Amino acid sequence: MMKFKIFSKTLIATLIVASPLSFATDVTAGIAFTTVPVVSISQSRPIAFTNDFELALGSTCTMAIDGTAIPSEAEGQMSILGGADPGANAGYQVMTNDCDIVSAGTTGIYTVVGGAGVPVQITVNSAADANISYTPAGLIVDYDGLDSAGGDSWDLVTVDVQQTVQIANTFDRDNSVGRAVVGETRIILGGEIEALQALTAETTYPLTFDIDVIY
Amino acid sequence: MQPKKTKLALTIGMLLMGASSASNAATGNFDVSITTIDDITFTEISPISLGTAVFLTAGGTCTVIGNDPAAADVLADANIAGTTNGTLSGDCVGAGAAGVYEVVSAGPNDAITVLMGDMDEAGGFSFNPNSNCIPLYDTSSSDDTCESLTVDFAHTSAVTGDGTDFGATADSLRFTIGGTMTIGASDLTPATPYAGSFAINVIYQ
Repeated sequence: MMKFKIFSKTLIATLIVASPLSFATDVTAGIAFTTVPVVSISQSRPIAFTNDFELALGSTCTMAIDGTAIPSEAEGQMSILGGADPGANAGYQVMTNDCDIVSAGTTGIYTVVGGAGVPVQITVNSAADANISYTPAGLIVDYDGLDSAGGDSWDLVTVDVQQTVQIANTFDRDNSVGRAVVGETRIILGGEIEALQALTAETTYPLTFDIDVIY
Repeated sequence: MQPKKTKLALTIGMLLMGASSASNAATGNFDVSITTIDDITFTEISPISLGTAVFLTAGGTCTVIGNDPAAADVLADANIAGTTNGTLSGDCVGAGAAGVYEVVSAGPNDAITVLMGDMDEAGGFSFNPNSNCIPLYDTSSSDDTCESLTVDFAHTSAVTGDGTDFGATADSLRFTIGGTMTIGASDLTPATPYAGSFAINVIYQ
């Protein structure tokens, strides 16, 4: 027992002397980041078809907007066209089929807000109730994140399908001829209304449809 | 027989007297000391940043380049002249930053051992510091090079600067670290700051 005590004291003394000899120094290296902001979507302008929709089952009212009938650069807030605002394409918001085709319709504008330069998944959904259906048609701005006049593009909406576009980043905005808002992209919609049954005269038929947005 | 005994006793007495003269020697105590090398200092100049727009999806990755610093980042000569440190790729956008670390030793050309760890998944993500530059100063003004640190592997070829390397402060060594962050099994939360850490150890050789 006495020998054990002596050994213990010797060991403690050795440790005290030896420990300063290491000269080791540690650093706890930090890593930090912040995730992308919450993504949201809001209506910047409601869609408005022209009136005088005919009553018969199967009637349709169509507002043109596609790759050959594009909205103005200002509405899309993009820099694809460059230079001065060229205004809307001649076919833009032109109405056809079984409604007032003399007047122009008004496209809906929907604004997505999220992380600058971040890809986002957008699904434009069709809708229907017992009276009418709505099949969207339109365009989504897909920014390129670069300081170039021709890099941004319109992506045609594929209804009920998730599509990926990129939200505007700083360089999209920095382009002197661009209109991009950093952290936003836009969806422009026309499309077609169809009567699913014989409709009643002098009646307004409301319908809601969904646009889903997710990173 | 008695006289013989007397002579013997006398002889012994003389020997004792001779021996007693050795007590004139003296022993003195004198001081001697040596001072050990100054302790090494090791500091984080700036942390690793993956920016402010990291995506959310489980399993996603975000890499920040840390192996291509500018000369000033690592106190090196112009032979190290990178420009892409801090560049992000993968599931993130925007600007990031490589971490910068500084060792100061007692004198120039001190050999240093660096041991770098990594970060196992904690708080929703892990980090592998797989992009880094620890300079090999050449004690001239034109030929510094980047070497790489490997996780959990002692790096032994680094020495502190001697003042002849461009921008280098004598006795100092700076290195940079980037790497890959991997999101764990669950999605991250949007608009949320995340933080983590890993250990780096330096020691004199």
